[in-house]
Amino acid sequence: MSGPERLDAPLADPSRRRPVVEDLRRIWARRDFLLFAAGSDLRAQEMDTVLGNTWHLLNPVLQILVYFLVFGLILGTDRGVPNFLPFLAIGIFTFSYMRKVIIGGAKSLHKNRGLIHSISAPRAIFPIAVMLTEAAAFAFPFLVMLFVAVVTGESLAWRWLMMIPIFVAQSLFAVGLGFIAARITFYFRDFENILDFLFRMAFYFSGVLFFVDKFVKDPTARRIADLNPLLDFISLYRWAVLGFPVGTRLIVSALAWTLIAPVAGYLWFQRRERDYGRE
Amino acid sequence: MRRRSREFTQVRAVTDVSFKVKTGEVVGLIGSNGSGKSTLLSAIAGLQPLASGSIRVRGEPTLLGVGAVLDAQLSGARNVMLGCLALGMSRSEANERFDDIVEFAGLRAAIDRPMRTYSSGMRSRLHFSIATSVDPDILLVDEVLAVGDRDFRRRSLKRITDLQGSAKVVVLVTHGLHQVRKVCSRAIWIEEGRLMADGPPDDVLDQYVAFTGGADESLDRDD
Repeated sequence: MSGPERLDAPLADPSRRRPVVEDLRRIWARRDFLLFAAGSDLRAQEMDTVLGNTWHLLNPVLQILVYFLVFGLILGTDRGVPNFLPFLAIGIFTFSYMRKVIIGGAKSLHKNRGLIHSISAPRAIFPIAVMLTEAAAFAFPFLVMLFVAVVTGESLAWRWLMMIPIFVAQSLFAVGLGFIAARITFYFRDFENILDFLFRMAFYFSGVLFFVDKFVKDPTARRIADLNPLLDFISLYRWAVLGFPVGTRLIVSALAWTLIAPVAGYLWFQRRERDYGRE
Repeated sequence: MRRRSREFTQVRAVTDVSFKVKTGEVVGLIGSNGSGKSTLLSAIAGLQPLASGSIRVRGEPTLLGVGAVLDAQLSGARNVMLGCLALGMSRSEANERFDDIVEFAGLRAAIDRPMRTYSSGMRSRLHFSIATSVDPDILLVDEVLAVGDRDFRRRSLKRITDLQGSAKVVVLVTHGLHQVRKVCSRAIWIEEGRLMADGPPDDVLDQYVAFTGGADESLDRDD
């Protein structure tokens, strides 16, 4: 054995709660792991099926067909929307992206308890990993969405590029709520079920299937609806791809959610960092 | 390290255990199943919040347990990368060590197959190779020695001895008493979460063997 060489690091509690700056630095140091794990997760998802990764494309196509049949053709919620198919695709895919990130975030601490007990990485990496995996997976519905828009006669415009910042904003918002959902679910597992229900409800309140302006006439109700972040992001996409109008209030609300949700969510999540190893 | 205990839903796994480990020491942590060895180890790694007492360490302790990170659906190669990155390596460091890890695990031919097609021996060899590819300040090893066939066990024991060169402190949880005699400079015996003995391996092990009736010792004589 080599001669004892004194460690010069200061004596510290290994389970101490790290200051935010140190925690962020440790998250940054794990970026390679996060990206690799996200890619691996995606790869493993459909591995046992005959069609394999084709399902990543088939799923959104089938999903959009079902909704189009039920809501477009049978129930006729398309009134007032000239090109309903891409309108619907945008609503469903971008809504379900946010839903997956937030619900996945809620489950992430429980799902990764094995990892939590074996590596001492910042716990915030788990909700972030969910977001990255879902963001990578979003490539498929995103392509379907654009394909549908082009096929149904939408012409390419520079405005489409705005989808990139909108996507980043939406992801930041979603991971912020993912943090909050993760902390609540850690102490109260039932929240997973409640969250499921909340999203079922939000699906109908966020204009996924219909154009809110046509249904919500009351100005006060419209003003409140503008504050719904899910509706905000869906509307922004519809503006970018289909040229639907968005008001200033909606844009301000979306910006506020983009900035406040991740910061507040992370800080609130990180305060209980030390607890997350408990069973 | 001072007095510590961990409590959650009425489980007090470790109580009133105090000891101090100096740089250069290799400590073997022994005790029956459920005695609190693993809890103690993960507390040192900072993975268990303490109900009372305290633990102080210099540097970053690394617990050798990457099993939880690995995904049976993925190829052995992808798992090597995943495990290395989880242990805190950068992608280029992981790439650098990739060949050594595969070589040590003896899995060159099978590395592109999904890990679910591996035998349990192959899996544990891969775990061990990944886990021991880091050079930490404080190395915490939980029961990874008793894996694989005789040849692999012999090589892994040597690997741990090599790691002692780069790590400043090694704490080893094991049932392999023979290994403790062979590689440790000190042994700590805990039973039902309480400290029973602490000292030179031979003294502590003799007491432990007398306590258990000599059951454990013969298991791994052939290493």
